Amino acid sequence: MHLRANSNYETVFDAVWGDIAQSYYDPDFDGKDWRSIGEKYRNRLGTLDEREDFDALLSEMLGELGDSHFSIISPSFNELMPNPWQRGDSGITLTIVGNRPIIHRVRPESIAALNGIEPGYELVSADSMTVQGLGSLVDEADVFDRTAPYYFLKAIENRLYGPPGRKIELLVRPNRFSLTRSYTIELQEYSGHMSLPLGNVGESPIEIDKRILKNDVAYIRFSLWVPNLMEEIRKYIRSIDESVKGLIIDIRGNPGGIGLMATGLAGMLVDDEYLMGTMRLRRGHLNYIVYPQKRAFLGPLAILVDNNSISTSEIFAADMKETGRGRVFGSRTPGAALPSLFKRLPNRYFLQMAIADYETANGTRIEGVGVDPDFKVELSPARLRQGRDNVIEAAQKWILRQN
Amino acid sequence: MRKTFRIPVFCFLSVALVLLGSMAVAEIEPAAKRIFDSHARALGGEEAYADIETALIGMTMEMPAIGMSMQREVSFKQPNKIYVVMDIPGMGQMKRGFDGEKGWSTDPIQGSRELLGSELEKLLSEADFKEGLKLSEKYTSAKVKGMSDDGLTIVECITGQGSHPETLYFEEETGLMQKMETIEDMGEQGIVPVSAKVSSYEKMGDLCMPVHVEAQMMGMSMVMKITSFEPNVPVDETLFKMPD
Repeated sequence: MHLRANSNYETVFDAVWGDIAQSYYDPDFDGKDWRSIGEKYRNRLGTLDEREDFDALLSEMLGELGDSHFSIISPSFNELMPNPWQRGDSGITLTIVGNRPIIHRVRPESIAALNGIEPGYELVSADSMTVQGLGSLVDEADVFDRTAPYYFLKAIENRLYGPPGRKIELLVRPNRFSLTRSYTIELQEYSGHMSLPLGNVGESPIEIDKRILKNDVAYIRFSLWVPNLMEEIRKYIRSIDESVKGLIIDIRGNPGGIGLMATGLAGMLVDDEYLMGTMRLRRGHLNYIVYPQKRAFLGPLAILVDNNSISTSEIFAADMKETGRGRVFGSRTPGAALPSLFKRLPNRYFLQMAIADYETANGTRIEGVGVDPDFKVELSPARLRQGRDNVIEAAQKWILRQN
Repeated sequence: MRKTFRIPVFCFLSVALVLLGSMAVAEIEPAAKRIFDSHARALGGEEAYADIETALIGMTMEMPAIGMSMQREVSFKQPNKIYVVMDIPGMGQMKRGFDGEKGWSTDPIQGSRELLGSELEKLLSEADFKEGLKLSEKYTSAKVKGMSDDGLTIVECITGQGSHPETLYFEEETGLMQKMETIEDMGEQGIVPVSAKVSSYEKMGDLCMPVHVEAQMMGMSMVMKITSFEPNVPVDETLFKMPD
C-alpha cells in the first residue's frame, strides 16, 4: 500500500509527536531535545513511499526516548504477528529459557498432549517459520530492547493461532542432544477465560490456575492483570485454610495489565495499609496505596517471575521484595514498568504511550532495572521433561522451611 | 452544582484528601463574593433547593482517546447521604457511599474499605447537594483578577481543603461559572492538575445544571454529560450503607 508523503503521514506524525510533547512524564525529556528529534524525523517524511517505512520511522522516533511502553500498534506488526485470535487453542504454553523457546506447559487432554508433546521440549519451528527467523523479525521490528524476549515469545505463540480445526506443523527438539521431531496438531476450540475489552484494549484469552500443591502449599498463576480475574483471585486466597503452609503466586510470563491490580492483590496479603509506590506524571502524581482486605492471607509467600514478567508484574514483585512480605524466585524481570495507555491515532493505529514514571515507596525506579529475584532460579527444561518445575519446587522448599 | 462540575474520573482510584495546610481565615474579596452570589442565584439559589429531599443524577463520562465510556449515577438524600456508582465496561462497578455515619468505597480492583479521615471529608463534601451555592465557604481566599481573553471574569481562589490554587471563570451576563483550572486533590492517592470547561448549562426544574463539561487531565480529554436529574424520587436507604 502506498501512502504519499503529503497525505495523512503528517497528520499521524504530528499526533504522535504532539501527544508525547504534551504528556511525556519528564518535562525535560531526560535531557533529550524532543523538538529536534521531531524535526529530524519529520524531514524524512517526504522520502517515504511504503506504509511500512512510515511505521518504522514512527517506531524509530519513539525509540529515541529509550523507554518501555512507547510503541505504534500498526499493520506492520502483521509480519511479526500475522494471525488474529480466532479461538483456536494448541494447548501449549511457551517460555523463553536462555534464548530458546521451551514448551513450559501442555494442557492435559489437548491435541498436543495426545500427540505426545511434552513440557521441556524446545520449539524449533512453528507453522513453517523457524524460531530463528522469528527472532530476526523481532530484531528488525524496532521493539523495545528489554521487552524483545516478550515479543519473541508472542511472535512464536502467534504462529499457533488460528481457527479451531486449523492444522499446524511443529518441529520440536525433545532435548538439546536429540534429533528434531515433527508433529501436526489441530487447533481445538478454546474454552478458557477471556478478558473483557477495556477501552481501546480488546479482549484476549487469559489463564488462571489455582490449586493446592503437595505439602499443602497453595498455588495461583494468572496470565494477565485484568479486572475480571480479580474476584476469582480474591475468592481463591480467601478460601485458603489454616492447613496451608504458604502461597505461591506465579506471574512468570505475565506481561502486565491494570497497574492498580498490584495494590488489589497486595491488599489480600497484608493487614496494614501502606504506600506501594508512586506514578510521577508530567504534572502531579498518583500513589499506589494498598488497602488490606478481609480474610487476607498472611502466611509465607513466594512470587515467581521471569524475563516475561513485565510492567504490573514487576510493580507487584518489586513491592513484595521491598516490603519483605514475600520472597521472589526465578529470573530477573526486564525492567519495563511505565504506566501507559493506548490512544487511537487519526489513521486508526494506536499509540501506546507511557504517561508516568513509576517508583517504589523507597524511591526505587523499576524501569530499566527490573526486579532481581531474592532467589535466582532458572527454569530447567530437563526438569520439565520429568514433570517438574524447579522454580516452583524452590519456592515450595522455602515455604516449608518457614513453617 | 459542584458535584457535577468537578472531575470525578478518579473515583475508581478511591479518592482521598489530605489537608496540606492549616485552614486560613477566609479572605473572600467583596467583588469575588458578589460573583459567587450571582453564580448561586444562577444555579437556582437556596429556594430552588429548599424542597429537594432526595435526588438521582445520571451521567455519562467518555474518554475518546482511550476508547473509554462510563456511566455514573449519584443518589443523594438530605442532609448528607450519598451513593455513587460508576460502571466501567471491562472493569466493573465502583461504588462509594455515606449513610450518615460511615463512609465506604468498594471496587473490583482494590476491594472494599471504610473511608476515614480526609477521604471521608472529601466524600462528605460531595454529599453536600448545595455546595455549588456555597463557594464563599469552600475557599479560604478569592480575588477577582480581571477578564480573560474570551470575556470571562477571572477569580483566583485558594481551596479550604488542600490549600490549592483554583482559577474560576464566570460569565458576567449569566453569573454562571464557565471554566475552571484546579488541582484534583485525592489526598493520599495523589494530585493531578485538571482544567474543565462547561459547554452547556440546562434548566432542570428550578435548577440550572452544567449538563455538558469537557475536562483535560493527564494529556487526555474527558467529556461528561448529565443525562438525567430526578428530584424527590424514592431512594433505597440500603444503598447508602456499606455492603458486607
